[in-house]
Amino acid sequence: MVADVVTGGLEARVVVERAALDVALELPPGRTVALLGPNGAGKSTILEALAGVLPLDEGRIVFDGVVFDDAHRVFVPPAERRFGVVFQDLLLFDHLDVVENVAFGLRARGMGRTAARRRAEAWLERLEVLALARRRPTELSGGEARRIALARALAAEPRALLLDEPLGAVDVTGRIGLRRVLADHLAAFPGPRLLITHDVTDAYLLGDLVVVVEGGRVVQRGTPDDIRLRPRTRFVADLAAVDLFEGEAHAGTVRLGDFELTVADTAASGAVVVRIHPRAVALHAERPAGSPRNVWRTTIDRVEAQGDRVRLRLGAPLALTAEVTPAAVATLGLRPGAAVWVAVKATEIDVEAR
Amino acid sequence: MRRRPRPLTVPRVLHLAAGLAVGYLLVPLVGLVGNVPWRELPRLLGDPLVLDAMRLSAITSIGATVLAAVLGLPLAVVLARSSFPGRRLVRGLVLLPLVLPPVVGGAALLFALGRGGILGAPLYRATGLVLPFSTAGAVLAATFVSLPFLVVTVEAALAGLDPRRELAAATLGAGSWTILRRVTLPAVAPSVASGLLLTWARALGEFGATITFAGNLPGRTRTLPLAVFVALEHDRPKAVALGLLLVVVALGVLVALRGRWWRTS
Repeated sequence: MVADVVTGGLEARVVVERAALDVALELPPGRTVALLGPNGAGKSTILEALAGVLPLDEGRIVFDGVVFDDAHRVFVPPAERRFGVVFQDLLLFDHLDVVENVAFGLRARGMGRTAARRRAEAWLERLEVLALARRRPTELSGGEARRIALARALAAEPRALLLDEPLGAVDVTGRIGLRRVLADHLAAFPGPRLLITHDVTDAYLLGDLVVVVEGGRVVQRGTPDDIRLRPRTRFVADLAAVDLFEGEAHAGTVRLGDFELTVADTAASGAVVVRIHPRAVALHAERPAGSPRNVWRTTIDRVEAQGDRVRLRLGAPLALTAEVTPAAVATLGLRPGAAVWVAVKATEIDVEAR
Repeated sequence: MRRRPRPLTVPRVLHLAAGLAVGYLLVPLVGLVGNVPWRELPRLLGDPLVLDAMRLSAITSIGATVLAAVLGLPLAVVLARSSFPGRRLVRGLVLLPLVLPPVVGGAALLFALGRGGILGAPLYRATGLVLPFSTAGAVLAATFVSLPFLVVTVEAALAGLDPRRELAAATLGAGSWTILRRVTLPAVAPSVASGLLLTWARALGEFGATITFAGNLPGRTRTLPLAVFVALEHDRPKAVALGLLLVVVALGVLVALRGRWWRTS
């Protein structure tokens, strides 16, 4: 039901002068590359260049060995690239109902109306939005519209998927379901997939590889763990080095393997992702007696100086990162192998259903 | 309940001037309607010559609208969506019939399409077709003056459209024809409709270019406006009756266009 033949990957060097953009990307087939970066980093421009709606100023785009754009002689128009694109602002067709939106790609390639509508309905069912078939795009919520845009891209039998903030502007409840649906369909899609996001959780949960873009340049690339554990810029450290753990929530606690955390969110239950920012992790020489619900003793694995702050990797039972000042390092004698007490307030722990 | 006085932002004297303007637009209508010979209306409007004029007006205005659509829609799309040298010049040319006295337009058509004209002469030699003083000529004259209404309306609507939606259609595999047919035109359909209606209304009222290029031949080129002009000379009640007919049609057009061409809020 998806692309007929998908073997190749997508390789590109994208230079767009207007956006001061110069990045090289490699998107292997069957893998999801999460493009992570702050607003204005040029992420959407990269996607538009790959999709063929914005010609390159320099560089080249090669898909499956075929040059799609070399900035001079060759330019394969978007209709012939067959990439499934979800734009950040979706760009659904307001004058068509949901089924016709999703059937659009098939009909554009010559499939008859009835057959195309049947296929479109099958995609709507797979994305759990068949009930919306007769609606107009203007009558959809943000999350619903994103599912329709995803269905429209997938139904056209693309050879690669390019998704720009597919989880953006969706409320928390909608987001959880949508992320699960997205994860399923990304995993089932055999071609290269690019997922643009500014959310580290999405990049971590959905990306096989993460590429971080800042100011029009790639500042780091690697697996989610590489990015998380060895951040190379302030942005990556702030955003991507947030510790993420997968666990099971039950009545105000989250079990992470053998370890249990007390969290403020008593409503969460079942499979969750727990996020703890390094700034929320406090270190003490003696056992603290204050309000933090989570207190335990551990040793320091690694110490990384990052300008005016120091990152400490903590050992078992929970591989957390703590961020402290150089002064604290000196006073507490924080060095690899040293024992410390760790305190994390329950209210500083973000819990989100998986 | 007492109405709260609104803060005064418009000088009072402007209200007076505005009232005069409204009166000036209203008084002629009152004059016309006040002179309508209501009793004789059925007889006047049933006159064979009047029926001929109605038939001719229907033919020429609808013919001109169709011709304007065939010629004007492609022009509007090209003007809005592609860039070429001299585009501003072409846009100016499109507006010319709006400001040109229709009589001059008619004369120009005569020199171009008349039996001795630059296009008319070869046409006559090749086919024996003579356009001036024919119903076809009346259609051409009405098309010349009404074409800008369609082009300007549709081009403005296309310019206000987000071209990225068309690019999204392209990523789904749609070629330029499919995009035009299934994305662009449906999105501007209401503007195309109001443009066609304006074009038709202008063609229906066409007088100067028609009488110059196509003449005033009963049964061939004497449309309703020409019939009003002729009736004023020797049959005033008939002129009033025809005038009333055209006013009613014009009001119908305005009602159909409400909220689109002019704001209702």
